[in-house]
Amino acid sequence: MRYIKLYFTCLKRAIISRLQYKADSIIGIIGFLISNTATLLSIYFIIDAIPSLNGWSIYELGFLYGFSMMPVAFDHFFSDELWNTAYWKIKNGKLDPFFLRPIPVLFQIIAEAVQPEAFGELILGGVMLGICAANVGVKWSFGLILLLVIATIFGGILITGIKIFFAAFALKFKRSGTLLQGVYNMIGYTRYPISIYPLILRTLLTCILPFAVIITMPVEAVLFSAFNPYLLSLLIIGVAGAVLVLSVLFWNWMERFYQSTGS
Amino acid sequence: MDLMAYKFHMITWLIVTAFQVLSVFFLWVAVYKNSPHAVINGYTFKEMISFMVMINIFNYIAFDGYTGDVISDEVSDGTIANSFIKPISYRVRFLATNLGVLGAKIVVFGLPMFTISYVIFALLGFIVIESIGTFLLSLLLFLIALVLASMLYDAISYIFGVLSFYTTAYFGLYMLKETTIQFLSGTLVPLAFFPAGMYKVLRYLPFAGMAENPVLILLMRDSPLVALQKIAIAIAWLVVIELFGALLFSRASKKVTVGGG
Repeated sequence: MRYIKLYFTCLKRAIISRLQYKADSIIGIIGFLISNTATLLSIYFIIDAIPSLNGWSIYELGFLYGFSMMPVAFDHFFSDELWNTAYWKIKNGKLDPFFLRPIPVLFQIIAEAVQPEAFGELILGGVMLGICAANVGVKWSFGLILLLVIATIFGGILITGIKIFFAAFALKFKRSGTLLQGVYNMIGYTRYPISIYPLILRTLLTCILPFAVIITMPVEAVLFSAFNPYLLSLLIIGVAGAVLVLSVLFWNWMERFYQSTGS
Repeated sequence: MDLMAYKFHMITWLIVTAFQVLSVFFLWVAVYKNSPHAVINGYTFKEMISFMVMINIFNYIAFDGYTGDVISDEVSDGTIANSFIKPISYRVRFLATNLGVLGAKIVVFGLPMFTISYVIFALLGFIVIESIGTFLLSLLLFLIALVLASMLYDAISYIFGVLSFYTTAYFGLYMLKETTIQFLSGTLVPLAFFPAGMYKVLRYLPFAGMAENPVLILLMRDSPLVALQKIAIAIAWLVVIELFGALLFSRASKKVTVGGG
């Protein structure tokens, strides 16, 4: 309870500190919008040259892309400071004071910053989802909407968990930003139908870094009724919870190897 | 040289890039499998794969975000004040650093990476070398185009850095810069895939000269004459962008606010 109160205090402080740079936040949101539009247009230009991609029409691909942005945006808003930690914070010795305070280090890092740019992704993803769903003619049901909401929230938690896990390497190696970037970029794989990848990559994306479970599978459930939405929701909650717990344990274990860079 | 100090970082970078190129590779495999034609927008499958690999290596060699990052850091921590009293032009300082980094990157990474991929592609028949003369000429023109591409990128990076005088923060600007360049330079998808109207315009914008044109020269898709034309366009743009940057700096430097050091 104390931590929840503390988190909201920190959140308020983080938002105030972001608002100092209003112009940058607005440009950031525009930046994310343009970035996603650019990737989307590239996919469009490529797919436009062929009839369909392994049976996926352009609108179905758009739906997949739009949805892939939702959990990413959710994670993005809350845990952006992990990037800073993995890339620079430890290397520059800025993590030292965190160890002196009577609150878990990981909590302090998460509470350190929020990223309002995430709203740009959320809006663009939502708009795309709407437009493409209308064009595909999705038959919405309560279960499907629930599934997408759960996949967004718990998918975000899963992404945060994986980020914590790989940022934890920086505690020992001083810097793990590139490694984290690499793992994080694997989310990009789920922007295309998973059937274009060989078995080994499909296994990687479902069992080891389960981004396909939170992005591809819900979309296949909506578009092709490939899965039962309720069972899939439960699966997503379970997987996200497990990953988060495992990552926090791993982080705490890695903290024992922390040595200040002395700079 | 921060780059060299962290080996763990370097090795992971290689894996990261390889994985990124891999996803694009599988996408193109699927695209060509689903296509009724063997040639899409002027590219065969083999040409597309060599293009995508080369342009990704090219990106790493030619683009260095240093200039924009450092300017914005100096703005936010106030050390920029020192630069105003030093007897060296702010722009020249970054230009020199960038060229130094470029040289080191070409020797340490560019040479082995380009050579290995080129040899592999040539052995696989993905790249066909018709005569040694054309190859050597293309290589020379490519080197010129590579330096120009890096300078164009640095000039734009400088402008975005100077823009942080106004915003006092850089992240948003950085996003905007990276995306625009990646998209319009043909890195995400070759410019020939853009709608015809856009393609015609984009060929004459500076972005084409920042990645697609040099790589097309390296892959010998352009005749030397066309390559020379492209290089001339890049030089013209470089002059225009540098002039604009100088103008912007002289205006912005009156605006700069230092938030304590």
